[in-house]
Amino acid sequence: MTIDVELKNVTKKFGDVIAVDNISFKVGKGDFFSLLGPSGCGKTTTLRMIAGFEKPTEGEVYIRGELMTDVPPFKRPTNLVFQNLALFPHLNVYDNIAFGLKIKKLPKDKIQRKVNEMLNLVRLSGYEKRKIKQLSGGEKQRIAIVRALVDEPTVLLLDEPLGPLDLKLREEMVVELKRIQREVGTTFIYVTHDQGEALTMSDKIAVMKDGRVLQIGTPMEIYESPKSGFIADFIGRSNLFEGGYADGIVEVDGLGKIIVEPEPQVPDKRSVLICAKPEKISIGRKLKGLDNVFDGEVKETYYQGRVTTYRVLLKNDSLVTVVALSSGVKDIFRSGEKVKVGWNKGDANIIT
Amino acid sequence: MKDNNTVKERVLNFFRGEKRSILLILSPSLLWYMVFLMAPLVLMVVLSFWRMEDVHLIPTFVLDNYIRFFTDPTYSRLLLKSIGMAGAVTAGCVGLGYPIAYYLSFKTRISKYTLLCLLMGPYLTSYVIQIFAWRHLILSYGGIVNTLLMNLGLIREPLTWIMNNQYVVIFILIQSWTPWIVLPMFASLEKIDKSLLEAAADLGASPMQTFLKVTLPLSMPGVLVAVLFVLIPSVGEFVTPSWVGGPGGYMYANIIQASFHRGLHWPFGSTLTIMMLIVTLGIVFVLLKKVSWEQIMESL
Repeated sequence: MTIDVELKNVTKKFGDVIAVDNISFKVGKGDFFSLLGPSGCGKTTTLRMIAGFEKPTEGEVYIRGELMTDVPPFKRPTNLVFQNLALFPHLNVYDNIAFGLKIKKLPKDKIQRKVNEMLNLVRLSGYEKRKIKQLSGGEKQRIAIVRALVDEPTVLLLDEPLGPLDLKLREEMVVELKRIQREVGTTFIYVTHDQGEALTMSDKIAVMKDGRVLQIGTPMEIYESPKSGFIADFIGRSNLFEGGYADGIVEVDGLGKIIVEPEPQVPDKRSVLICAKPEKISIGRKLKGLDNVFDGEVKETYYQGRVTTYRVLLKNDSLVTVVALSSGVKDIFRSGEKVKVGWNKGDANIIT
Repeated sequence: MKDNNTVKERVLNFFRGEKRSILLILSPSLLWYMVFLMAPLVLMVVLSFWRMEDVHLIPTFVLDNYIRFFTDPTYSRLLLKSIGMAGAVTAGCVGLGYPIAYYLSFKTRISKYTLLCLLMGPYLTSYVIQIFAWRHLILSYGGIVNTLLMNLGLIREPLTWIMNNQYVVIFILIQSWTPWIVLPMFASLEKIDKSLLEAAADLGASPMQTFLKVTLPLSMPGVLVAVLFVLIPSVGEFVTPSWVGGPGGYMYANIIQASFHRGLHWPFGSTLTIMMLIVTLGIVFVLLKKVSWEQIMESL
């Protein structure tokens, strides 16, 4: 597989503050690669180093194998979709999209053809003469994206471009973005703090925290087998239990034994985290045939339509979040009700 | 909190109320403009159709003054020359002021507002004193420039051409207006979202192309305001030419002043004023119609 972007031991300091701390990763050609993390984790700085707006304090950025250290942004084969979109307010839609092509002095008819292609791609044909301020939020998004795509960059960088949109529009744009990426086949590097967006669109996700990359993997790997408690909690709000491991059993203080899949590499007595996703925990008045079952009391019930979320207090005073499909009025557990929660050993995983 | 609300409500109601309240709020300024701008202007228009007999004003309605203006080319030529000089002043001011505004907005690491205050420093001195200094201390026969050059042995005789011509008038006007018009251009540049410049660079524009295609067009409103700020008063400038201009630096407003003062011909002075007003308003109108700035920028 061809590698489009590679970061090698990149560190960025602003004064004494370390924004990005010795990160390395590779992005394959045509991949939708997401940098996911809470605000202040260094993801935007990382993106800006790839675009060329920030210089790494240490380490190197390569694009298609070429060292980028001394290449200014306007000579890099990358285009960035800015967080605030940064569409030129004094130009109309056509001139915004054609901006980069005019700079490159392409012949007029070729520019025209490419701009039309792009407008078709985002289904905004006929918008050529519109002013930017006449566009809706979603239309601005699309124009910003195709303005960055039109001169066929090697890599398209996106800095949380969906941030200012309302939820419904954001969901639409997620689908739209993925479609655009599939159609043009360009490598996308996408920065977001929204795990839902990242999971839906990405081929690969790098989870970042405090300037470091904690884990890189496919959405499924990141979700199903997080490598740290932070990731487990950040993505999908997992339930975590800590205890000493011995021979397929974890002893949790105040709760008892939890049966897990044996992990031969883990030495006895080693403290581990068990991560159980809310939707993989069963809840009921009686539970049978599960490896682990615990008594609890429903503290909070959130009926959300398709699903219902419960917060259940266990006897060791920890709260467990359970998400169950809503299955009818009489099957909803009310706050204060005694229930059982449980899961099979295969549905939880161990973080060492 | 509740009290606050009711007070706010009351104030809002007052504003919402009727047109009467808006008129009430505007009335001081309206009154001011009526008395000190509109009234004199109307008077001027009326006066321009009067006649002079010896030293007496004769109220009548004749076109004599306008006929005189259009038949004697001296006046329109002088008006044209004044507009040309004002144009040169404007070009000089914008040419010098824009880089200053640009530096203040984009490049300085010192507090820009401290620098702006410093820039306003010259205005702590009255313009009359400034022009007095130019005439008597700096450019005069025994002034600083001549003394310095003679002491350095560069010249034997004091230079007389450094004063009493139109170029020195233009020079001094540029000097006095430049800091002032940095303000509107600075304000305009400050308003530009810096991510637009990054976006341009990202799309392949070199720093120069970014400037020409993004920064300059977006700061054009400020430049336009600056142009109007300098151009309008410069066309009607008479203090500077009368102090350092000499015969060669004579400007249109000087003959207006002369008509009212020594010439004692108020009706013709009024006509001259109104003609200048019309021409200046015409220029402003054309500038505000923008000559389509966007198109000019596209052609760059």
